[in-house]
Amino acid sequence: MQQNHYLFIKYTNKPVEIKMNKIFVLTNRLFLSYFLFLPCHVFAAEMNYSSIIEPVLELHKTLIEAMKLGESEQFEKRVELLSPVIKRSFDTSLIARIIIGRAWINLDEAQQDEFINLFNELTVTTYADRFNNYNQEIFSTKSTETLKNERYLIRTELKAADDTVALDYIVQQTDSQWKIVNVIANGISDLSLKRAEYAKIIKVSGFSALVNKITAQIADIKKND
Amino acid sequence: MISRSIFVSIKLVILSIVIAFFTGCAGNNIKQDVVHNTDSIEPANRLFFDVNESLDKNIFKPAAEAYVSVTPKPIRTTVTNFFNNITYLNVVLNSFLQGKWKQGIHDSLRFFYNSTIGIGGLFDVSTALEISAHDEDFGQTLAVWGVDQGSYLYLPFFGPNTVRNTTNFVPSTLLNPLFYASGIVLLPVTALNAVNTRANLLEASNIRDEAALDPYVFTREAYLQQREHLIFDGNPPVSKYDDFVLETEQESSLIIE
Repeated sequence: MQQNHYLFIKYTNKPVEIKMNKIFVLTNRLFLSYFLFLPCHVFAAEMNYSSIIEPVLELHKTLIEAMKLGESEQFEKRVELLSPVIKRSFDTSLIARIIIGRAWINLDEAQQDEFINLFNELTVTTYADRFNNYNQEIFSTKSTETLKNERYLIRTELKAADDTVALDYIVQQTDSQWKIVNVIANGISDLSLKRAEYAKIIKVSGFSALVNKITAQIADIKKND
Repeated sequence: MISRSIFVSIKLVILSIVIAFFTGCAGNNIKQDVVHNTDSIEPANRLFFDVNESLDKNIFKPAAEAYVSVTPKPIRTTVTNFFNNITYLNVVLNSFLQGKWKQGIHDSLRFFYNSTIGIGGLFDVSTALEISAHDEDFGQTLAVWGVDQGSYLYLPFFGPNTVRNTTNFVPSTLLNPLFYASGIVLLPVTALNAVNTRANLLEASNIRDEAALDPYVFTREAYLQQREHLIFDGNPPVSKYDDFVLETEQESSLIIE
């Protein structure tokens, strides 16, 4: 005798009995199970998404705080505020390797470490210099797109009083932490700009000349603030 | 006189397209280093860049700074609106040439409202009516049609360009009503446009001076990327952002092998 299964019970005065074979029952149970567990899938996906965009959100939040600190006399305070966040949010060692390109393998470990530290200082100094005045700016996240090798492109926008800048970030995981590896402002990739510049300087004048130029650049930024 | 100019201009456009096409045939793989593939006349470009920088430092920048100091912002905005509007027919034309029909109609309306209600373009009423501006030119049109950009060019006075984009000079000039004005009007108006444009770029040039270790390379790279951004209407293929990271990963794996 075929077993009857109550799959759905519609609200009527009496239960609705549905006869079906075992394959159909199994399919429906799997289907139901999927949807019962779907909230967990969604929750897991949401957790993953929030950790992917976390470095960007933290950076934006800190930039707003830095801007609110105010003008030039607060430069050192902006540096102090931004330094740990930039260190956490950016994968500086990978960025340094990408920017130096093929010349990286010709550097010894001490030179590589020196460059990473110097580049980190340049990044912090530049952000502290540029984001020095708050005028009701708003950062908003627009969308996230998947790139190759589990990298993501996070599209955001910075709205100021009379201008809007598209700020896109490429993030990837390093040591289980999501970190920024490139910033693209209105279509212009910071990584690409620096890579082209630094490659030319290394080719013409050598790595030491590049280090000297970056050191002088940092000093100029600090002097002007 | 004007018809002869048009005839010469058309020949120049055709020549530019042919040059752009054949330099494109030499190969322009998007993954290859921009320095090697698109700046084939770097020594000449650098020479013109240095000349322009010197002119800018000694003439144009001081003039722009003086202009900013004596001209209130609302006046400068009005001047900017006027010049943006009289060159907007080029945007309208190229929107249609790229098959962007809805955008072309939108741009036509923008030009019409700003020229009429906006009193000859002095006031940007279209933006207030949520008819926003677009940025199209013949170089972008040729890109959409599949013509390769050709070599990067740094032109005296005009600044960064590409072989493909130089073709824009012709339609943008012919569609500019000022082109048909006499020299008595044209020269001072052109000077005002040059100073006003330079004034609008003061902040950007200050950022470049602060950020660039090699201003020539910085300008070239920023210009070429900005062009790509415009061609794709602010939405270039996402894969290209990954190129350098992928290249570094490949190099690292080769080293390990």
